[in-house]
Amino acid sequence: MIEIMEGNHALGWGALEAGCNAYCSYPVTPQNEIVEWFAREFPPRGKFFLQSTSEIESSFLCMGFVAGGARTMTSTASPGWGLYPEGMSHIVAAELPLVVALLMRGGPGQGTTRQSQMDYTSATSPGGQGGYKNIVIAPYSCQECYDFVQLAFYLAEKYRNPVILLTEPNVTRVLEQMERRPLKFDYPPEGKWALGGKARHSDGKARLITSGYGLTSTEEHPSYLSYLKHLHDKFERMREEVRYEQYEVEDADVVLVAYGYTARVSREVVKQARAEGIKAGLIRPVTLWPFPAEPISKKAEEGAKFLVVEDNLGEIGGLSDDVRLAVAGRAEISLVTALDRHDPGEGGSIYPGKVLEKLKKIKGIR
Amino acid sequence: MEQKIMARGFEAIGWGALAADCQLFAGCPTGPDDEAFAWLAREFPENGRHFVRASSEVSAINIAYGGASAGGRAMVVVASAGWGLIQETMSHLVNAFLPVVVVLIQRGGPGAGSLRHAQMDYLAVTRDAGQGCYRVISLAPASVQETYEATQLAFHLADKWCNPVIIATDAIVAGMTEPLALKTIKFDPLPEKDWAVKGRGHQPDGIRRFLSSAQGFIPTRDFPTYLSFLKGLNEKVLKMREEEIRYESYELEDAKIVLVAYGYSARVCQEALLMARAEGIKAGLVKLVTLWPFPVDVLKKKARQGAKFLTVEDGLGGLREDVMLAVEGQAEVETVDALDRNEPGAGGAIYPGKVLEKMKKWEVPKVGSA
Amino acid sequence: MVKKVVCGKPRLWRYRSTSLPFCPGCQHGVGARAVLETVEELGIEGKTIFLGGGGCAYPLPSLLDLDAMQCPNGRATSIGSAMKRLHGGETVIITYQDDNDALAVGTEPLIHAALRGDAITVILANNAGYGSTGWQMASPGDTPVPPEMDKPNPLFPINIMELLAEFEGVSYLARGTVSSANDFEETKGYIKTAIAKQMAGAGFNLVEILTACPARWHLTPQESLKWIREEMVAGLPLGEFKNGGGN
Repeated sequence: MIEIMEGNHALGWGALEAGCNAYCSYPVTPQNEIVEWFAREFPPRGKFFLQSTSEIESSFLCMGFVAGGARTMTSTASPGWGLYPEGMSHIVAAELPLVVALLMRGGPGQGTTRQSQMDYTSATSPGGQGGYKNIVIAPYSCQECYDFVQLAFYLAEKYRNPVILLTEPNVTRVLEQMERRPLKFDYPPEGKWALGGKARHSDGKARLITSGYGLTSTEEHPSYLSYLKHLHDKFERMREEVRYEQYEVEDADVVLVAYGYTARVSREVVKQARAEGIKAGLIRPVTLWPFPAEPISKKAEEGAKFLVVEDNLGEIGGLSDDVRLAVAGRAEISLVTALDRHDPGEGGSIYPGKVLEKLKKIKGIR
Repeated sequence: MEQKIMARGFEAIGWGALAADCQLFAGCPTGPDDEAFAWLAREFPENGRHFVRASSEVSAINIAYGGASAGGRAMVVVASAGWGLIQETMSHLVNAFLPVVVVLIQRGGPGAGSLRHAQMDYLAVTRDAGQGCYRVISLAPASVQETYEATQLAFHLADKWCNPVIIATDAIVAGMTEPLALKTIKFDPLPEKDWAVKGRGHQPDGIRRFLSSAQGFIPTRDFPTYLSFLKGLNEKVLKMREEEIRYESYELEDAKIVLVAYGYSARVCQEALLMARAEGIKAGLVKLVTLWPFPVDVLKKKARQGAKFLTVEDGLGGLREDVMLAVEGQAEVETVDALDRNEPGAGGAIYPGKVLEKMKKWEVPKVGSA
Repeated sequence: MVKKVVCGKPRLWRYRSTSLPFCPGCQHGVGARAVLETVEELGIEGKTIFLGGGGCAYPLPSLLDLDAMQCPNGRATSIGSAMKRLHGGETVIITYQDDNDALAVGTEPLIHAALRGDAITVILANNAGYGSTGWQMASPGDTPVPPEMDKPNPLFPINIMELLAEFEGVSYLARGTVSSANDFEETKGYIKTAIAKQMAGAGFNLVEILTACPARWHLTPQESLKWIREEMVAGLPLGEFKNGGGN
């Protein structure tokens, strides 16, 4: 059955479908619609909703929910995201699952209240202590919000690691057609790590959860080094979860790379370009980490040129860095960045016209 | 006359801050940075500076934010466990164009990790760990003297660029005792902090000052629109990236294998370099002084000459990414990382022998051959 | 089956070496033992979750035969609040936090758990300072050896009992010591009452235990206990501060 809804709500319905039973967050624009959805829909269904006192608190309340065995989700936006790194680092260290929806708005600092794509790096190259990785998924439509939040819960439990859904209000605030279809995942057997009082465990044995394996020796991780190796191996295995989409890439000699709303814009540009005889294509990373280096590398080898489209400061970093790594010097990379927004105010966005203009420049077309 | 004392890295931070006229220190101790606190708690008040022991790192960085807003030189010391708590405010400081010096003493992670040394925060330090897209200059001292000098430089660079500056040291460099020559560095003069908030009546022109970390969105004196702010920030970052690269190179000229390291690993590499050369291996070392900006060009040049790169870092793959970005696929890059520590406990470290072992594993032409 | 432990090590300790990893005269072991004996006597070990905080007491959760978690500094109350919601009456959530943890970094979580009336039991082991990070003052503001580090910024004392007693969601507040066999029994009584409140779903409850830190106080263990009895108690009186209320 086709419905019309906004991505914010689709995240909620998808979470419900995935068996999420605990949600905790702190309101911040533009994620408030998500908080409201959970506040409205969770309690009547006997599921836990908790508004915290700060984002730091959100991360640790969530750590508690997860440690207690709940399938847990939190959401935040850019200014709140800056308060998550400590919690994220501890949750990763304790090997706990969590789904985090991060809505990007203009930054840094207080920034703006409207969309951006400026948290690419802090999501894919996590800013908490210790150096770790999280799978990052970027939905670009309402349907994908619904589908990918379900995927996120599965991957979080599969790897016992937080999974981040990275998006922005241009995707989540827009009303679109979608279909509520449950996705089936092969969840691993219920983990034997959740706390609940030892009598509740089938073997009656006490369990310990800690985020300080360099301070505490356990049976599972007798030394800090054995623990680091275990984590490192896990992060390597997570690389198998790479997902991406290619649109008209086969014969393309100029390839756009974009995710989220700018991928929608780029699809439009590819269509327009093709109509004008330009062989353009789009590689859309669906997972931003692990990054789909392989298809980009392949096109670089074939001699294609690249146009990275991101509402970010691409000359400094972001998606452009990962494309540069994948291209490894073999091809020209051009950028469409936040400096190319159509309007100087906070509502400025990247429009197809601007992208097409740059595309033509690359091809040497007036 | 220059005074020479024996000092620990922790103390050198304090000596450097005094020399740089740091007026305010705020912090909340978490092992192993409490030794820095002990020194600062004693010496700062005695030298007429403010010492505030805050209730947490969030609190500390915001106190420093206040000090910076008022036009003072402010500093914070954190350890890795606690680093995560300051990122929101770092992002605000960047937007508001405010200078604060942040000393990070790296310990094992993630989470509570270990209380001992590590170099696991490279990516968090060199990229934007908080919201938004930005960069912050980071310095990596590898000795007590360097810690002292880096601290002074950090205050100068923070004021020069109106941006936070990070000193990313580790518990080994901070904990070691070495000779320290106390000499205040004279930097180029900087303009007055005309933007500082102090009460309209105290402003020389009587006009109120307004600081915001939502610059552009909230029109400010310098940035009437968000786009103009983004342009300004972008420009500033690119300029810092171009002008503030610092590194040291050792035996690089004819090197076929280039070690890349910082902090205590750089000291280890200096030893490994000697050992390698003694065995006829054409090795060289690029020791990072700034982690960001990264010395891209010097590595690119060696890559074009056919050199191979061995990154040595007591972490899990941070530095490697920047080396890969610099060489752009033109050279082999291998790593010595935390999994190569000499022992499995938290005190395990990277030793020169291990670096030499990895160098030897590669087919590298010896001295005297082409 | 309720039985009373008269002497001996509680069954719930499971450390492998011969002694606990604390300084001689440290009372974290005693404070934790008061909790463990109470848990044993109430027969609730099967449903207890022990959440330890940061600082010197960090190793505790790894040394007990209970479902346990080593929480980041200041966060045990948040983690406990979440777990309590999840498991409700099926579990008993006990946090063990020192003054550094609960009265500094963890003040926001603590106050809000109390404001929400979360039915968890917080054991606040107050040893007047932060030992593990080189000795800094804790909120009570008075120690036998004023930390060097805090001379520039003396802290006024905080009596957490007075602060929390006002909150409607708080059902039980008590302060005790473990300086003698009698004190130990009395404090165990407080802990028992607190846990009973939790099990009755009657809101947030906290038992503060004044504990010794001879290493940082620069006193012998006996002198430390004397200091607690004579000096510390003067500023932080013992007894029940609230008994009733909560939801």
